[in-house]
Amino acid sequence: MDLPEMDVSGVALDDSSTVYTTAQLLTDLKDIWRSERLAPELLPHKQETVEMLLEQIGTVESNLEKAKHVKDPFFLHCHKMEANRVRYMLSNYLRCRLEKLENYALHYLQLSAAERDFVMTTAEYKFLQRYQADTEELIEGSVRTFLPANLAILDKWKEAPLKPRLESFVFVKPREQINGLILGASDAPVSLEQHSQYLLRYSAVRKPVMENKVILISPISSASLQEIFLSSLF
Amino acid sequence: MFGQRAAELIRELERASDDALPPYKAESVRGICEEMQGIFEANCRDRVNLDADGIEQATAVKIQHAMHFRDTAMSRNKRCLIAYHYNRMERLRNLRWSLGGIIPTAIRQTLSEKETEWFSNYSKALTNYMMDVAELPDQDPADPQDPVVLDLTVHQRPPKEYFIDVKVLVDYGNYETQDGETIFLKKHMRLCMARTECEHLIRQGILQHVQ
Amino acid sequence: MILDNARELSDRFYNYLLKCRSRGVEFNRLLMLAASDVDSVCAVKILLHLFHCDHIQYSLTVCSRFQDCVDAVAAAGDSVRTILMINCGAAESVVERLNVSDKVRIYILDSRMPVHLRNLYSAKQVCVLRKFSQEDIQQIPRWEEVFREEEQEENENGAPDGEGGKETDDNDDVMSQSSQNFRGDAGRARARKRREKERELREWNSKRIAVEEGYYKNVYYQDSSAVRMFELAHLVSKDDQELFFWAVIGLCEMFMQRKIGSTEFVEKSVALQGHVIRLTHSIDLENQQNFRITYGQDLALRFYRQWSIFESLNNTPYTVAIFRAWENKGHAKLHEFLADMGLALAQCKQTYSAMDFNIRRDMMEWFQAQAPEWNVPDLISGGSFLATYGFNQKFQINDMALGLFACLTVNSDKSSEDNFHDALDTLSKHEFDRLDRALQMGRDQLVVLRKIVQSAFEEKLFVGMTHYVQVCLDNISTAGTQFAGRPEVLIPLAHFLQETYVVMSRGQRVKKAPFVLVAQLQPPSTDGTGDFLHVVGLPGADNVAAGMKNFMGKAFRAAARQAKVELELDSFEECLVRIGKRSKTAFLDALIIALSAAPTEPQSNRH
Repeated sequence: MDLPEMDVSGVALDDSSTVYTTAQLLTDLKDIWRSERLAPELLPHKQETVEMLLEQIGTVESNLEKAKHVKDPFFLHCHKMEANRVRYMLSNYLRCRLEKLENYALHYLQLSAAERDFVMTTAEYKFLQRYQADTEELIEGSVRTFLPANLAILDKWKEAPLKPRLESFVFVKPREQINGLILGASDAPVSLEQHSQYLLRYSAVRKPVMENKVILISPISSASLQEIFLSSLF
Repeated sequence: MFGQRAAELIRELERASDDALPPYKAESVRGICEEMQGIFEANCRDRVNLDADGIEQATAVKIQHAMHFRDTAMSRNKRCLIAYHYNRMERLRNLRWSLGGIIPTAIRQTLSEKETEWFSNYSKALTNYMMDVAELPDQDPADPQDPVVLDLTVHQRPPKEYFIDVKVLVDYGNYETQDGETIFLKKHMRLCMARTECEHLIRQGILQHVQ
Repeated sequence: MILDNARELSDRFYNYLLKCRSRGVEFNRLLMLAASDVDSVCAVKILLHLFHCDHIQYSLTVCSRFQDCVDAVAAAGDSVRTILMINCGAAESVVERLNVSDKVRIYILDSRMPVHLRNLYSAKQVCVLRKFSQEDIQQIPRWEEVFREEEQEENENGAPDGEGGKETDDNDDVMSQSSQNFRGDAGRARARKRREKERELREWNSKRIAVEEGYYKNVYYQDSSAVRMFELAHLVSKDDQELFFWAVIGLCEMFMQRKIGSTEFVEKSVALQGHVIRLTHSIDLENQQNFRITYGQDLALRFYRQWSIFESLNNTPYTVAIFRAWENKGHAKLHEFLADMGLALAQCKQTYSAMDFNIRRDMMEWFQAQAPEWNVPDLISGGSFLATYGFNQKFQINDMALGLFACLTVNSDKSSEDNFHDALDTLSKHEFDRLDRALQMGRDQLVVLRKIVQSAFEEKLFVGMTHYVQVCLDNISTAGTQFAGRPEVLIPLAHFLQETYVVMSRGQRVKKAPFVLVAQLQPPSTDGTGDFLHVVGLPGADNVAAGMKNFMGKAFRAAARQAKVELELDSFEECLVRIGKRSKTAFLDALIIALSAAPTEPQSNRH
């Protein structure tokens, strides 16, 4: 896949020439999936990871199909189950992205071409364009016949598109030490330590999140705390 | 009073439960549009009056105030109309994800023509997107393979087990699974099926998961 | 083919299913057809557990009459390769009736006897999953007696229907296949030879009919299907306490519905005893207050643990019959009995669980002491299963079986399939609420039955015919007796009526007399006009007590044939038939003739 590796906000894409193992791909998927779900805005697309994983699923599934008569059903069962799990993660990841695109459609359509290529794939862009065109047609078309021709209804709506709330708070966990993070206009720069967790404004960590230096985590509920506690016992 | 119908329209949608789609209020929408048309025409008239020569200062201010008031009413009406249609569209979008590409007739009756059109367009856009995402395996001319399609609507819940027990709630007839197996679904039957096969049917209310 | 012992069951039945899984999609789905009775619910529940463990895919269809099975198989079409029939199908020649191709394998798990000879003598296609004792095997006619080689038939030009009259058994189809193309070539020798052959065939045929009639005469029950499936689960090491619970319900239901006699029940219970010890032992001590099944002596009073002793005595068929509890005199007698025992009335009318602890502890002994004096030996059962859950919540599994039966039969608003699924859901040891509800339903049903028995006596509806006793409930005047539900509910009612009547009239002859109940059920709202009457036939009471062998189904058929009345089987029970309202008199008249000719051997009427 040769998408232009645009460096928009000073972020470089990962080195795409590395050969990934399936396990590596899966951990990657888990990370980007989790971040995507928790981030208020659309994160840079990971088309390569998605494609490679899909290919893997295809291979695994066709192998399973071939082995249907030979292998033990229980074995097949486990593998199918595993394939379904990956399918679920992928679907949920992609669905999550689509949802963001749908909700902030106008905003994402107004991005510059370079920014666009950075955060979404061509397929996503195509979908977005079509979605917005359809939606405008729905709203306008519903009232067009009753209104004078030169009365625009969508003008104000388009002027102030809905934007992702970058100021919302997120829990973050740095993958490496991050220095010189500016949290607020008047604050001094801070460092984020590895292996620790922070609750910050998303806008403050936006850049490291996009660089995948920081991953977003969901706040620990009491149930999962208990789980952690229990697992530490055994 | 300006904006009353529009507010009523929104209120009614708000009163319906979260994901329910109440019938489309074509009459109200039309009424609001008429109101807007009235405002539009009145403003046009006033603009002509305002531009007329020899207008007194006091009258001009009066007219300006009236125009400003009408304009606010107009914006409000626009906003309500957009909100009404947009929110209905969002609910409809959720339906696409929960019920699949075919709208049940009961729901179809509550939609406007434009909404039905939007629904089918959205379905198409979604299908196109999924086809774009689908991965073609390395083509081996001797052994052509189907592309790996990721149907986003199938895997909406984390899979816990491969097979699940389901009960059939309506007479459905033959259902062909992805494996090519034909299963006859009749009301009151109980079956064990692969979860991926029946997730659609469960969401459509044809099957019920039993534990 | 018979799969007799448990080992074969696992090798040739279960392993076959396991193997099917890996044989491609078109083979792996098993079609289960289950009758809607309690034993079948339990068997299905056990099987579902096994299938869940081993990822065997299935489709389950609930059938309430054989036509449902035929429809289900037809609807499934070619996609079915394996069919398992639970408590249905043994009495029919399944391959022909279900019209399946020879690729389909059919397993029959049925507690009903006799099994159709075609099923028994099928080489591979049909497997009957049940135990056959030496005695049973001796009763099965030999192959030569009932079948002739196919190619021989091809050459026959006989008219086997000649003396058989209106013999309608399926086996005649084979005979009538014989070709007609011999008309042209005469030849004397050939003709003589043919006549000889014809004669031979006729003789063989009449013998065959006699043999078959002897074989099919009595319908009786054996082995619970649920217990059979539990044995299978045990063999594949997937049994646990819960499965055992279900199996025991299946067994208890057969006993409570008089499908098996008490001797057989005790025998089977003792055989299951080993499992009780093994399974209870495996539960660790901490879980003792959880679910537990024990086996021991208990009062044979229905539902008394959820009721009061007095109400239970007042409703259990056995005590109702002995005390004539519906009469004032009987009521007084009942009080006297309790007084003799030293039970205060206030305590007796108290809910059992609220009774004085000391009384509850000693009550068994008191009953035991009084039983011989009052001549009620059966008030104490030799052994019954008791389930305990929580802190001292107990119920008899016998009662649970009746409760499930009520779940399946009482509700006519819902379809029988829904009832079946509800019953399946009820059967979980985690859902104590539902178990309680089922027990409550069983209790309610018992009260209704008792009321009907009472009004039947008060209105003197018992008619002693020369050879049988008859009760017509269709013109009963007391309100509330027109009750709704599945027709199967009439069978326990008939037992109740018969038992009471026999105790009341005290004659030896009455004990032997068959019993016929005619009743009208309130038609379910979904089903048309309600122009139907249901007729239940039971053999003599002495026969019932020893494990029922019921010939009344055949007698009904003979009578219907004679009176030219259309007979419908509304369930899998042969002794329960449905006739049009208008043909009632004609049918009953014909039944008198049929039964009077030879009350215990109705088959002689058939010529």
